[in-house]
Amino acid sequence: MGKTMLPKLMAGLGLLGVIGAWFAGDSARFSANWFVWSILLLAVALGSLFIVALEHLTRAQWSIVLRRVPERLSGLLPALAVVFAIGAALGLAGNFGWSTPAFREALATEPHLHGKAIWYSSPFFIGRLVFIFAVWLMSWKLLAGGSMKQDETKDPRFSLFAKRFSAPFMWLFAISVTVLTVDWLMGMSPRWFSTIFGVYGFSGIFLSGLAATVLGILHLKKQGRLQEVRPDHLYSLGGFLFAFTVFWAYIAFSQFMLIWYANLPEETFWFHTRLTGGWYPVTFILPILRFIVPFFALLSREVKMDARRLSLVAVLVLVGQALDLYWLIVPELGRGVLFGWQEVAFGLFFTGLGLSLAEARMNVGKDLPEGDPNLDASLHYHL
Amino acid sequence: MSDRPFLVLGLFQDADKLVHGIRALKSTYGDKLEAYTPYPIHGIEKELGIPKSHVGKIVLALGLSGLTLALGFQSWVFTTDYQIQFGGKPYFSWASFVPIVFEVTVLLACIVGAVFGMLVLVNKLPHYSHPILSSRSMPKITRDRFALAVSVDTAEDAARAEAALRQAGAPETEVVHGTDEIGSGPLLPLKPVLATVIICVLAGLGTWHLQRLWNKLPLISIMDEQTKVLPFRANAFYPDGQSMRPLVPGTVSRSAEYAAWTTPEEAGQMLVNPLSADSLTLAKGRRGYETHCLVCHGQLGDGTKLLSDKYTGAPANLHQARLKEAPDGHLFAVVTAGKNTMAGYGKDIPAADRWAIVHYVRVLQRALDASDADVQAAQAVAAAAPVAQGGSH
Ligand code: HEC
Repeated sequence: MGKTMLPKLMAGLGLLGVIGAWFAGDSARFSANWFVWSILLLAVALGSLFIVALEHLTRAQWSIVLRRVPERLSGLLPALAVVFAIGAALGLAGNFGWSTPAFREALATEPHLHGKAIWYSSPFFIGRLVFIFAVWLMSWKLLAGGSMKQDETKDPRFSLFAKRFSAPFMWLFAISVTVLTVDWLMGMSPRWFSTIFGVYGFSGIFLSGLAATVLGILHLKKQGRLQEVRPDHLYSLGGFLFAFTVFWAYIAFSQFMLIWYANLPEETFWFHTRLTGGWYPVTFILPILRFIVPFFALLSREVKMDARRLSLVAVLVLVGQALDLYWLIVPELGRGVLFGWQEVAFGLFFTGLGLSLAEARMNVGKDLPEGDPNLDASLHYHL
Repeated sequence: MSDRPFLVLGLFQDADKLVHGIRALKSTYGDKLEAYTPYPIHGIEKELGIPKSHVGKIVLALGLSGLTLALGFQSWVFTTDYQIQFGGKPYFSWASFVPIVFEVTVLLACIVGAVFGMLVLVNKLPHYSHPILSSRSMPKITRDRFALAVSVDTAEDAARAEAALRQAGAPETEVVHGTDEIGSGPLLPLKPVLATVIICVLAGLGTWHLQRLWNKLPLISIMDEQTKVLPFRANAFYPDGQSMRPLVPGTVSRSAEYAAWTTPEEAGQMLVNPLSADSLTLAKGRRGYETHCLVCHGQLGDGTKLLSDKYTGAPANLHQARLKEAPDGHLFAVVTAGKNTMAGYGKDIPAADRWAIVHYVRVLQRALDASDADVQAAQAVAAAAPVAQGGSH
């Protein structure tokens, strides 16, 4: 009882703080926090959707027993569309990055920004945002919704359809995630550019989806549900986490090293902000939290198979993603490291919100995709 | 090669049946059991009671040593042994070390650790053969059968093991003869090795030729085609159609020298060595001398050239009285503008370094016929300070 209430309590308490922060008047800080946390939840939902599509596309059998968890987590998407809509209604996007008056003026006057003027023109920008959410919602409906329907109909044709749909989905996903990261993360520093940035965003999104899936499974197992998921399945998920932990480090370092080496002022300033003053320790901690600790933790087979230790790593991955987003967005306010009651309130609110939404989603449909013709093979999956 | 029964194989149809077989025979045969399967079956080592392999630890240890080695070596080279400036970066530029650290870590961990660890610990080098390899069942085991092997010594043993395997659910059994002593079995499969060598050589030659053709293809021509400014080429980008840009009127060079002298003798009257002969300057001078002058003038400056006799010039002996008495400016002018068959180094060596070389020539001149007093003075200095001071002027 007490445990299930906790997320709602956090969300409620946090909401008071968030409302307080709104009236405290520091709207730039409010927007930064809003985007850090809403993009974190979005990363969880999108990462889960990606896992579902990836498993369909490769016709993976091992993951069928646990597919319901990412399917349910991708069901956060409609709520997140609402969160983004509220953000837009509050005018949060107007606070910094590409939408500040100063940058708008520069777009009109500085010749080298002319290309960006088209990119950041309002109709194109809003059109993109609507488009990417439409892509995600539609894919979620088709993949997760279809799968739940298959429980009843037991129609094997859905599995074939899901496999076929997942191929174009990969293209759409690549494009939409690039738009998301370029507009809402790189766009916070609109003069800066890095061509690998979309991939960087993707690595964090996939990791978030994996970590949330692991936590969702272990949560259900604790309740005595989803006992069909055995250490063999956890091991494979842990392997995924391990691989993409390394992938994140590879991409993050590639981005840093090329910019550092070429030393072009129009690229280095972004890192310079993050390597000076209070941001330096944050930049230092980030790779430790996101790479070194999970890397060594996940090396051992025992950790990947052990529910308690694997869930610790998964929490760490999500904390790392939150810190990563904070590190991407907040320095652009140009006010040094911001950490106060507002940040705590936002953390409480969105963590509580995410947990309650996810908890509610965990009761949607059956725990196993019973209509999937290959479920049996998955139940008997051995490493 | 002895011909006693060595192994009895029971072939199971799938991994589950194999595991059941192991469980049935475990109590009787214990560590005499071994499994051979077409693909790795996780967890089977637990069923067989095989302790956890050390390969993981070896890989980790070697990976960490690769990391330390690569990081340490690069740090030492770039900060102490051979300092080179790259684009104004500090000598200790850890970020540029990372790719090599990564490579060496992976190399040691995977190739040395995993592959050699596997060869020794799992494949049991120096045993290079095993009777099972020449058994009838081997082709099946590499395809779709899961073999449980029982080690046996005698024919009676073998018969008992066969019966037990059949009872445990293996429809097929085979008794394999032989031993696993080192030196049994064929030494090296000659034909496959020869074939591999030939394929490697052909592939190497083929790639070498192909890539030369390949590089010429329009899209691939590796960096041959670039939209960059090349000297002495037409360039449509600039209004005057030239790629080389004229200097802005009134430009003043920061490094050009304005020589008011015309001959070394004149320079000797006009110029004074601007550097003091401290140990740093002398070290720099020595490096310059050894880089540029030593091949002709010799280690000691006595004119014994290292070049072959095809070089017909006669480099001057720098110890001749005239040159010992000549002022620094004279030597500087020779180094800058050359003399007769000696080319000038004004374009190649910065002025400060040329002056440092002159100091070092003085050191050579003085050192070759040092007096006893000089030697004593030098020893006294060396005893007083670890850094030797050289040159008196
Ligand atoms: C390619 C061989 C070569 C190299 C390298 C070379 N020299 Fe010479 N050097 C000569 C020759 C030959 C002469 C004799 C020129 C003559 O008087 O005909 C000479 C003459 C000299 C003289 C005597 C000039 C005089 O007034 O008679 C000095 C001093 C000298 N070199 C210094 C240097 C120094 C210092 C360097 C290194 C920066 C150097 N040389 C590098 C070939 C060389």
